[in-house]
Amino acid sequence: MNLASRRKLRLRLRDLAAASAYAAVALSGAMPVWVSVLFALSFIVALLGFRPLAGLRTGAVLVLLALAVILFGLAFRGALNLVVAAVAFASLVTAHRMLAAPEPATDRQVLLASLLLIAGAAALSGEIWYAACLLAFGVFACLTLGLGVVEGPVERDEDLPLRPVLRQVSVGVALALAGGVAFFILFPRISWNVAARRATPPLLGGTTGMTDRVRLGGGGSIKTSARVVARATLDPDPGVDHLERYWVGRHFDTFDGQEWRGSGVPGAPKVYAGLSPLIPGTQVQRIELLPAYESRTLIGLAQPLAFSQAQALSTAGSTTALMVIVKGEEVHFATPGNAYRYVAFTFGGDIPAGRLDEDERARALALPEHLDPRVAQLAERVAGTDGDPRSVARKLEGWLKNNLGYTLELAGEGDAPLSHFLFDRRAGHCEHFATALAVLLRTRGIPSRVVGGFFGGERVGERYVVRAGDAHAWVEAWIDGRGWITLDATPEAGRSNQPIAALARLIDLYESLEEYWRKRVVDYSLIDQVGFVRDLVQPPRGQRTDDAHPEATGGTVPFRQVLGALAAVVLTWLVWRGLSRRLAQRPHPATSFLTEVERRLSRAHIARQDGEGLEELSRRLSSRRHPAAATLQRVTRRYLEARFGARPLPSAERRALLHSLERELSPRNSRAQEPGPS
Amino acid sequence: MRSTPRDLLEKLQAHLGTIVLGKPEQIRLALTCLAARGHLLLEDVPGVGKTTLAEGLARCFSLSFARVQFTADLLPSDILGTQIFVQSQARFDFRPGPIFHQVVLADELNRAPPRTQSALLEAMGQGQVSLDGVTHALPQPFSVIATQNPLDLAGTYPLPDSQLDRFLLRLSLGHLDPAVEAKLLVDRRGEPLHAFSAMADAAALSGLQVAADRVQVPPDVAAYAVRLAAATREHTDIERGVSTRAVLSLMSAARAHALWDARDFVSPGDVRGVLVPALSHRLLLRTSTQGAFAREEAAHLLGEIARRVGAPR
Repeated sequence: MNLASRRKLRLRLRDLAAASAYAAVALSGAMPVWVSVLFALSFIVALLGFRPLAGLRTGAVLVLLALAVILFGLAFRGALNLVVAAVAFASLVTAHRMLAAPEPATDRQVLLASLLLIAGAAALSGEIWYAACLLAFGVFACLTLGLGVVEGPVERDEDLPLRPVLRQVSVGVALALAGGVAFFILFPRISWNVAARRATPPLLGGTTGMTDRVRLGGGGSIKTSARVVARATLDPDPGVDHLERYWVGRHFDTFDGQEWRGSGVPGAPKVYAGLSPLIPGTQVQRIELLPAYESRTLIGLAQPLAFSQAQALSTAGSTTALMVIVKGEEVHFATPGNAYRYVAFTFGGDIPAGRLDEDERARALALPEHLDPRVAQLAERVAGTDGDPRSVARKLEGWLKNNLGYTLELAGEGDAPLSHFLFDRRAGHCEHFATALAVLLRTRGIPSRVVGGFFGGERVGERYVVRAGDAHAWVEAWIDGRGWITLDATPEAGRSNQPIAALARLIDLYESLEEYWRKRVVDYSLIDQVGFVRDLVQPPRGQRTDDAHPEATGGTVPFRQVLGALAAVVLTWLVWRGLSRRLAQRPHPATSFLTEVERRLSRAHIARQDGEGLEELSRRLSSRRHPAAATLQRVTRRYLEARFGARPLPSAERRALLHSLERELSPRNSRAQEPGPS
Repeated sequence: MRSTPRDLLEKLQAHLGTIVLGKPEQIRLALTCLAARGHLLLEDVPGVGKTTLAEGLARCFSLSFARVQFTADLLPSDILGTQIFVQSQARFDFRPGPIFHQVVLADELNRAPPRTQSALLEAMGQGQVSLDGVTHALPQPFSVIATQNPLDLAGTYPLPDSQLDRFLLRLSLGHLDPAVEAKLLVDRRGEPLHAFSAMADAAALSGLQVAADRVQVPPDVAAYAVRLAAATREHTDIERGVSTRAVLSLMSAARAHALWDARDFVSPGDVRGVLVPALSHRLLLRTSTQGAFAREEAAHLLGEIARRVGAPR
C-alpha cells in the first residue's frame, strides 16, 4: 500500500471518527438543523477527497468567526442553550478542520475537536447510542493515530503491508478500549446522571395508539408494532414474565355510531393528580413514557388512584411536569416534553363504590342515533331475563368473545361499522369488541364506557416494557355498589401485541442492552463502585438461590466477580506476554530496506540461488559484470552497515539507494546480461 | 600514506596471483588465515602449488621461512632444535630447529609419527617451545602451513581431531583450469619464486592482525554463528558437531574476512564465506569415508546447513 492510498485511508478514518463524534451530538437532537447540514456537507466533501479550505487561511478563519458570532447571538438571545451553542461551534470547527489541508497537525486538530464533541454529547445525552458513537469514534480515532504513527518511518515509495500494521494497531485499539473500561470501573466518580436526564424526540416518529378519539374502521397495523413506548418498575414486583394487566389511558363515553370521544372538562394543572383516595395496599409503578409514546396521556395499571412526582424530559433537561385531570376521561401532562417519568398508584381490585352523578350516568347510557334495532334485539336475546347487571355484563362479554372472531383484516365497513361487525363480518379487532360490548350494555341500561390503553407488559431485567402493539381498547361498566368494573370482550389472542417474532427479539435485545447501559454506565456511581469493591472483599453470608433474574442478584454474587477478575488477570498476562514477545521480535529498521531491495531484485527477475544472501549475490553479479553490480554492491554495503554496523540509514539516503537500484535494474539497462543460477 | 587493510590484502592477493595462478579464492582465504593469526592446513595431491603458496605467503610479507618435510623417522628435535654441548665454554647451547621461523611449511604432516606431530602442534598452540625446562618463544608473527595428501594414506598417521582443531582454515587448491594451465605452460620459465619480491613486512602483517582483532561481532551475527554450529551438532549425518573452540575459530576467521570488505563489523556473509574452510575439518561424519571424500562430504553438509539456517535479516 503506497503513500497516496495510505494517506487516503488515514484521512477517511479520521473523517469517520469526526462523523461518529458528530453523530453522538446530533442524535441528542439538540443541534440546530443548519449545523447538521453544514457538517454533513463538509463530511461528504471531505470523504470525496476535496479539501476546499486547503489554501484559504484568512477567508476560512473569517467564515468560522462569522459562524461563531451567529451562534453567540443565538445563545445570547436565548434561542440556543449555551452548551448546545458551544458544541455546535465545536462541530463547525471540526468540519472546518476536516476541509483544511491534510497535514499531521490538521489530523490532531480534527481529532481534538471531535473529542470535544464527544464530551459535549455526553453532556447532552446519555442514551445507549451515545455509547455506540463513542465506540466508533474511539476505534476510528485510534486507527487514524496508529496509521499516522506508522507513516513516519515508512518511505513514500515503500509498500506498507497493511494487514499486519492494522492488526498491530487493532491490538492497540482493543487495549485502549479495555483500559477505558477499566478506568471507568476503577476511577471514583460521581454519577454521570447527577445532571438532569434528557430525552430526545423519537427518531421514527410516534407510534402510539393513544388518540383523542377511537374511530371504528381504522387499520390494525399497530398490533404488530414491537416498539417500546413505556417502561415501568412495579412495587411490589409481581415477578412474572408476562404481565396480564390493563394499563388505563383514557376513557371514552360518547359514541355517535362511528367514533368514540370523551367529554370531560379539564381541571387546573397540578403536581399531584389524585383520582381517588389512596387505599392501603396500593401498587406503586414507576413509569417512564418514552419518546415513541408521543402522547401526553398518563397511563397506570387498572385502576389508577393517583399520579405524582412527574418529570418531563426534553433535550434541554428535565423539569417538574404539571398534570391536568380531565374528569372521567384522562390525566394528561400540561408540561411539554419528549418523555415523561412519574409514579402511579393503583389499587389491584375494583375501586370501592363511589357515586355516579346524573350527568355522567346519562352520558354513559346514551345510545347513538339511528342505532340498528338488531343490536338491542341481540342484547335482549343474550341477556335473557336476567336482572342482575353484573351477570348481564358477563353474559354479553362472553357471547361476544365466543361468537365473534378476531381479525385485523378490515374491508368495506360502510356507514354502520357496528352492525357490519356484529351481523355481517362477525369479526373485528379490540375497538369493535369494546364498542359492541359498550353499546349492548347501554341497550340493557347498564352505564358503560370504552377505555383506551395497553394490555400486557413483558419483563426485561427488572422492568416491564409496554409496546405500541400492546395498545388495546376495552370496556368499563358501572355496577351500583361496585363502581366501574373492567370487561373485555376481545378474545385473549387479540389483546396484547402480535409482533413479528424476529423484530420483537431484536427490540428485546436492544431493551436489555439499554437497561444494562443505564444501570451499569449512566447510573453507575461511587456508591455502585463501593458496593462492587465491598462485595469483592466480603462476600455476603446468604446467597440467593433463584437465579432467574441475574440483574437482581448480580450485585451480591462475589464468587462470579472474583472469577471474572481472575480471568481478567490471566487475560492481561497473556496479552502482555504475547505483546512483549512480539515487541522483542520487532524487525530491525534496516530489514525493511533489505525487503525492499529483494523485492526490486525479484521484480527485475534476478534469480537467487538457494540460500544465497545479498552479499553472495552482489559478489556473483560483480564477478559476472552485471550492469547493476556496482550499485548493488553499494546497496549491500550500506545495508550491512545499517543492519550490523553502527551507521543507521537515513530515509533520504535509503530512498536514493532504492531509486538508483531501480534505475539500474530497469529492463533497458539489464538487457540480456541477466545471469541465471550457475 | 598508510594503505588500508583492504588495499594491502588486495595488493597481496594480486601479487600472489602471479605465482599461484587461477586460485584467487584460495589465496584470499590463505591471506585471511594469516590475518586471523591462524594456521593453515592445505590438503591436496602433490604438485598443485601448495609449497609455492606457502613460500609465497612468507616471502610477500618478508617473513623468515622454513620447510620441513615430514617423514616417518622425523624426530621432535628435528623440528624444535637440540641442546648442543659447547666444549670451549663447557655448557649446553640451544640450537633452534626449523620451527623458529615465522612461517613454517610442514610438508606431508601426516607422514610423521604422532610424537613428532604433537611436538609441532604444541608449538602451534602455545607459540613457544619448552625444552629441558627452558622456554623459548617463537618469533612473531608465527604461522604453520601444513600439507597433507588426502589420497595416498598408506603409511600415514592421520591427525587426531584434537590436533586438526588447531588449524584455523583448511583449503585444497585443486587442479587448474585447462586454460590457466595452458597459459602456465606458455609463460613459465624457471622457478617463479626466485623472482618473487616482498610487498610488505612483518609489521604490515601484525597491522592486519590488529585490524582483524578490532572488527566487531554484532550480537545477531554471533547468534547466527551459534545457530550454524548447533545445526552441525543436530544434523543426522554428522556424528559429532563442532566444538566451542571451532565456533571461536569460525568467528575469528570471519573477522579477518570482514577486512576484505573494509568493514569494522562481521556480516553474516563473512561467516558463510569462511564456514566451509573453517569447519569442514572439524566435523566427524557418520559415513566412514576418509580423506578427500570426507572433506567433500563435510563441505556439502555445511553448505546445506548454511542454506537451511536462516541468516539474520
